[in-house]
Amino acid sequence: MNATVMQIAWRTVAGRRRGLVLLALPVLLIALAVVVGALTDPSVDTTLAIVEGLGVVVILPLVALIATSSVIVPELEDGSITYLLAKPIRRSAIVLSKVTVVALVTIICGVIPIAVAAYILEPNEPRLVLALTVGAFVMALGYSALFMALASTTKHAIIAGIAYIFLWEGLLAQYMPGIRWLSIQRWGLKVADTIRDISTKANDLPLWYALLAMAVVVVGGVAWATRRLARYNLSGED
Amino acid sequence: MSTLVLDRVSRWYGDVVAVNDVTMRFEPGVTGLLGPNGAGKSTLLSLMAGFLQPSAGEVALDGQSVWGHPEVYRTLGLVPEREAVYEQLTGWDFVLANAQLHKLPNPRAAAQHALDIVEMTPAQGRTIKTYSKGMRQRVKMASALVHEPAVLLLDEPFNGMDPRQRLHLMELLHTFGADGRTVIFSSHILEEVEQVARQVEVIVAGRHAASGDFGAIRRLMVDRPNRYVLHTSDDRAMAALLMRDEAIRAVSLRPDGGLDVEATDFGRFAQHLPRVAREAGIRLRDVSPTDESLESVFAYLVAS
Repeated sequence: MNATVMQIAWRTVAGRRRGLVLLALPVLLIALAVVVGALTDPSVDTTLAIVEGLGVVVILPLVALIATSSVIVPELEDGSITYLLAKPIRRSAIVLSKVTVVALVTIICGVIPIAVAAYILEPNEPRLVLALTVGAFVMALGYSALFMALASTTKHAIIAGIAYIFLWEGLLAQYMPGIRWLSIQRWGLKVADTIRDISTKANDLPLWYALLAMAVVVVGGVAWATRRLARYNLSGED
Repeated sequence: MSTLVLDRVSRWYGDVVAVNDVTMRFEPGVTGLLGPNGAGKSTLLSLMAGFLQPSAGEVALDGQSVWGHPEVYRTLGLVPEREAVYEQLTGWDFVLANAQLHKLPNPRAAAQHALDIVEMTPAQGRTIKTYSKGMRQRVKMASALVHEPAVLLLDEPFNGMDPRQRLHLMELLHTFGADGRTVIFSSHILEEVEQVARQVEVIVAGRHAASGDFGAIRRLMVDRPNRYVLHTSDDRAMAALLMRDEAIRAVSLRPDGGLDVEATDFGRFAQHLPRVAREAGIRLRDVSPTDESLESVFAYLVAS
């Protein structure tokens, strides 16, 4: 990894208006938890509906996608990635640094708010809080690597990412149960479900499969993006 | 001292050939890559910078292939044509980051030195977003200079510069060349190239059309047959007078009035024409070149 690459990536996230969107999503989640927690005595089902249904399923992947859209997408589009590539640095170090920043942002704006919201709603259920946090953490790594691979492959990475989150994992997965074998969300929920039974989504995947699949996505995504970056073509207009 | 060698390099995209079997050798000093827009200059520079894989042939820097070997960037600096930089950074942060990416022993001193060279010190504290086009160009230069590369590649570096900045950059390139660096820049403007480069390589339609010192290229370009259209008070008499001159190869009467003239020696024709006209009492109403566009100059070079 390379500290300078990470530093530049970090400043691109923090320095843009997108940074505010990144904060708005977790603030929304925590505010909702505070309001529901104050007005009602939430059941475990309510907690899961908010923290899992909104936080883990929607906000977490969106945060990872928005972070990717600031950290890598613009510079591939406008060619400023040239300044990183025209250096004696390994391409894998550049990709790893960027994925790490995306994952860090996703942890700060996704995983931690999920933990906070879960704690606000269920302060007496530490195992539930832990399950959702660990599940979200594993998913953050998976999404970061997947979106990096997408960004290095297509100019329409953001649309592809949205389609993956809402069509594939969201809509289609409801009608085609086989998709659970190919869904970062389901692998993460399986990890959470192993720590404490959350049983909102029937999850009969073997744990070893969920962990292995996640590892393959992380390692494969980084390797693929490295390969793509090594072939980055500078000349667009001549 | 470093040498960049292109050995029978071609690059095609599907059916389109962007660079066609180019062999060149770049030695220390300033070389201009001259060609019309769309000739393949940027593709060629991308190939030289290791940002594009040759479809055939090889680009080597001091014997090391530049494709897939990021180590070459220790000796290679690149100033891309595209304006985009990390514009939310200040000029200083951007150049410093470049120095750090090179893992230089003293990145702060290197960044300061590079910014001094391009005279960007006064504006280095502002974010790049606020820079003019010329300032961006200079900060890009600084970023390519931090590691004092032996080979410097610049893609259309004079684009968007005002005359003063242009002059400054020309002086800079001169100095680098005199220091023993291999400086290669592209341009589609002959005057730009001949003011800086001793060596000129002409690229037309992806092919290496001509090579030589700028004097030779200049002569090739100027001493070609020039075509003009004249409108005079007495076309027929003017035609007769012109044909007596050795610098004129052909004259013909245009059906709608006026003369088509083909001159072999531009300088002589330019001096000769007004004198002949005055002596004969013929009024010149219009003298206009018909093929002065750079494209036609290049087309001539390719044909010769």
